[in-house]
Amino acid sequence: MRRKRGTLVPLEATILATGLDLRRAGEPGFHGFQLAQEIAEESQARKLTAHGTLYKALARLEDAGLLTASWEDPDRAAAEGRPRRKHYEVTGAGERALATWRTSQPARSRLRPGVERA
Amino acid sequence: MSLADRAADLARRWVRRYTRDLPPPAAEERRAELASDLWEQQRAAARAGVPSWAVALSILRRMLGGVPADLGWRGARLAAARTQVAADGPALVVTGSPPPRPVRRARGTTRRVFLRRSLGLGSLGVLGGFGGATVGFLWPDLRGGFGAEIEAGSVEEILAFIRSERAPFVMPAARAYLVEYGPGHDPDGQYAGVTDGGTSPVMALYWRCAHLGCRVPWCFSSQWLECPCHGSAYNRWGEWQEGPAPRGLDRFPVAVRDGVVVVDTSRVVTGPTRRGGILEQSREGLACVTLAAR
Repeated sequence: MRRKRGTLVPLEATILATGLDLRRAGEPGFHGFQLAQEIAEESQARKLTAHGTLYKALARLEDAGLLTASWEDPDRAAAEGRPRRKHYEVTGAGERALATWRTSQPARSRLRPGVERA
Repeated sequence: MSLADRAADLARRWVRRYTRDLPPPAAEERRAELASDLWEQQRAAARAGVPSWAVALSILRRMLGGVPADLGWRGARLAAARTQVAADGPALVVTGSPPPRPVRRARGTTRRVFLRRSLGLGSLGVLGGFGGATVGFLWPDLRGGFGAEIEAGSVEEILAFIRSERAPFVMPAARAYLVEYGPGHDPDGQYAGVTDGGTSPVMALYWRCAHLGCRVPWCFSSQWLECPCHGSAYNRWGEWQEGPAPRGLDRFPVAVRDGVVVVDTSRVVTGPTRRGGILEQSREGLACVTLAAR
């Protein structure tokens, strides 16, 4: 199904809201699994988002300029003995898109908890 | 290799599979991102003391749950790559030739991909339906048929039939003959095991000859069971009397429940040995199977 350009689906709004929450908590960026974990902790089901669903949504937000992404320094990952992480950050456009999306939602909509907060 | 490692390996193989023919930057990025995700999940689980099977289950669920999105993402990347190729060439346009066709905007799913998927899903549906129907057809139905407990009827009616007809009560569904059993003839309880501890007034004989398996018919004149194939003969309790059979007829356990005779055809009890017969019953008339045939 095609979506109207510029609109967000609930998962995308959740990602942006979670990213902003993390920023407020002192973490400017986040990586994929960290995001899945944060979303799971906020949701009632406490299940990690499926790989394909999560990374497709991240890719779409990145393509739309609502997130910026950068790969971390390989030396740092090697020093910690793990694969490289791709770090995402919510852009100003992302913040505005989330605010617009929130105003368009009914007051008591069935949103993911991460979206209702803040 | 732990269960979690196996699941992670499967997830990595799936990523390699659906990114195999994508442009290298997109494919490599997705693979690297998934590799990082899987590693981080396993490390977080190890720190939290989550058992390996639970991690494996979570990884598999995340992998399978994301398959439609993976394929959608792949379709979009392929379409974007095609659009890029069309936009880059041809570099040389001959004067007078028709203008290049406008490049169509890339969509998530092309017609070709859609048709291929439809064909694949349709074939899977047909094969699945056919497979399901075949399995359903071949699935054994053990509710009441041979191999399960079968009700023969009321004990009074069966006994009345046996006495009035002077013949066993035939139960085709159980492949058995019901004959009258009297504990008076069996003081040691030899057949207690197949007559519910001697309480059943009937006994079920498997109608297969103990020799080579022919069905053994009842002979009215001799009041014995006589096999037409090789002449084995059994008295009315199915005990060996003559012929090549190595023992008496096999039997099924019988019980009487609420006045109804129930034959358990799931268990065949081997018949008595040649010398193990206890019912004294001589042939009561002419034999049905002649000596020449024996």
